[in-house]
Amino acid sequence: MKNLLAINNVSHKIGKKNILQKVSLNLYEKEIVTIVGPNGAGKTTLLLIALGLIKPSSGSVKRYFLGDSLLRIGYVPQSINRDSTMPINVFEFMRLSKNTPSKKEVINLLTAVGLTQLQKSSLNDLSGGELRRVLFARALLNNPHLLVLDEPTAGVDVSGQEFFYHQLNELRKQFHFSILMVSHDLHLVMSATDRVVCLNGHICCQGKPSQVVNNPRYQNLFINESMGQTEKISELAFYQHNHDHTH
Amino acid sequence: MTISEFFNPTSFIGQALWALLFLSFLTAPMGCFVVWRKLSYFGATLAHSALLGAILGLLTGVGMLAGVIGFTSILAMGLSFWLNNRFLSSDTILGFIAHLSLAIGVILVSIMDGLRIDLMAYLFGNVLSISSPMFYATLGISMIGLLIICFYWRGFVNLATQRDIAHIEGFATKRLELMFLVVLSMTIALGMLSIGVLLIISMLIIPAATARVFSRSLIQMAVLTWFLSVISIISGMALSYSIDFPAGPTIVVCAGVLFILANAIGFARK
Repeated sequence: MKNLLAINNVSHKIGKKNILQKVSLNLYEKEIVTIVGPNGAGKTTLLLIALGLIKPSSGSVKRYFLGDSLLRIGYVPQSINRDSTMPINVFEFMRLSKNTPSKKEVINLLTAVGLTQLQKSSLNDLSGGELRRVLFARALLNNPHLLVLDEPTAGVDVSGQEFFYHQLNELRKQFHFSILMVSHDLHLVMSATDRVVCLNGHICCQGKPSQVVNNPRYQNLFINESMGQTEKISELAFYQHNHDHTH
Repeated sequence: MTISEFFNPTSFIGQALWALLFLSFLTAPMGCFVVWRKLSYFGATLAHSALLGAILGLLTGVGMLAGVIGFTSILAMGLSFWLNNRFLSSDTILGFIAHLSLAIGVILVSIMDGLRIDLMAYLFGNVLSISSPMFYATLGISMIGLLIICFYWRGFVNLATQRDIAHIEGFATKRLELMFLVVLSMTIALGMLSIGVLLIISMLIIPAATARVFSRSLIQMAVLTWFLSVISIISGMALSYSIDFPAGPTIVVCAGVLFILANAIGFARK
């Protein structure tokens, strides 16, 4: 497996507060890595450092070359400024991408995420889930090697979450990107992930979902956050079902 | 006065009119960005500090216009940095900087006998007494600003929607923000000389807010904002000349009337 990105011994402080301590993480080609952890664990900070949007207090982030081009990243943030003062539709927003995509490229990608009928809709009329898919399509315009998603299904209902992860998998087959994401919806993430990284300021444990769920450190982390959660996790973590129909 | 005299750039009213019309090439697109990015208080703070910039420009000998553009640009960059890591809300920081710099400016004007600054002209503008070099400076700087906006349009729009995505896609977001703040400072400096410190923000936001009612795309809103600015300027100057009202405030009132009309039409359509 080829290396995509290496986070080496990264620590980060905001004021006097340690957010991250000596975190090292390697990402490889074709891998789906999910960062989980309680609130305030530094998940989003780690993501922003990996993206190069925050400079860490110490440590480094290395992007590798793939073939002759440096790692291309697509970023799907939680939200954007789509205030109603801005009259901008989905199509226009997509065309703001750095490489000025052609109409055809934009329409192809909107079709891929199932949003063709919304291309003339104003950004501020979209639901949370629809907006997330638009941002997803915009990130794919760059033809990324690595897609970084910040809580991709926050505020989306359970059937919407299932649909999202299903679609993510389908698109991955088509576009061949690796994934780094932060997520809260533990059970759905588990079934869709190669590697889970459990973060709480430092990396508590990491590995295949089945290994991590049984790790006592992981269980401690989430049992402290809400009693009874572990029970739910162990029940749901191995729950997998196959889609034999669409809604 | 005939219409041709009114539009003749060598007559005193024609010169003022053309200065404002050229300035509208800057105020219209920048007004849209100020509305989209919710920067009206930020812009007002820069405008309030323009007086201090003018004084510093005169004292250091670089000239008033360069002083205002330079000082407000530096202040804008300092503020955009400060507003990001804050213990106070941006609203509080902007409020005290705006009025503190205006207070210092007014004190300096009153204690320095050598400075010949007409306070009323700074606060409410005095486009009718614009000097010939300042007239050409307004034309030149407006055109330079418009070229920068056209060139960086996509980048500026990206800053207004999602800076992080733009940064990761490869836009030089820091340089773009810098350019944006410099153009905003240029707009405010020119606006201060014609419309005045206290009214320039209204020339930025009222036509843009009016245009929003009818706009379906960003470019459409910018062009419509420009068109509405031109109507406000021409009608305001004509009114001001015929009934002897002060020029700047009359233009602002005309822009305000258009806003009310547009909203009435927008409301009636629903």
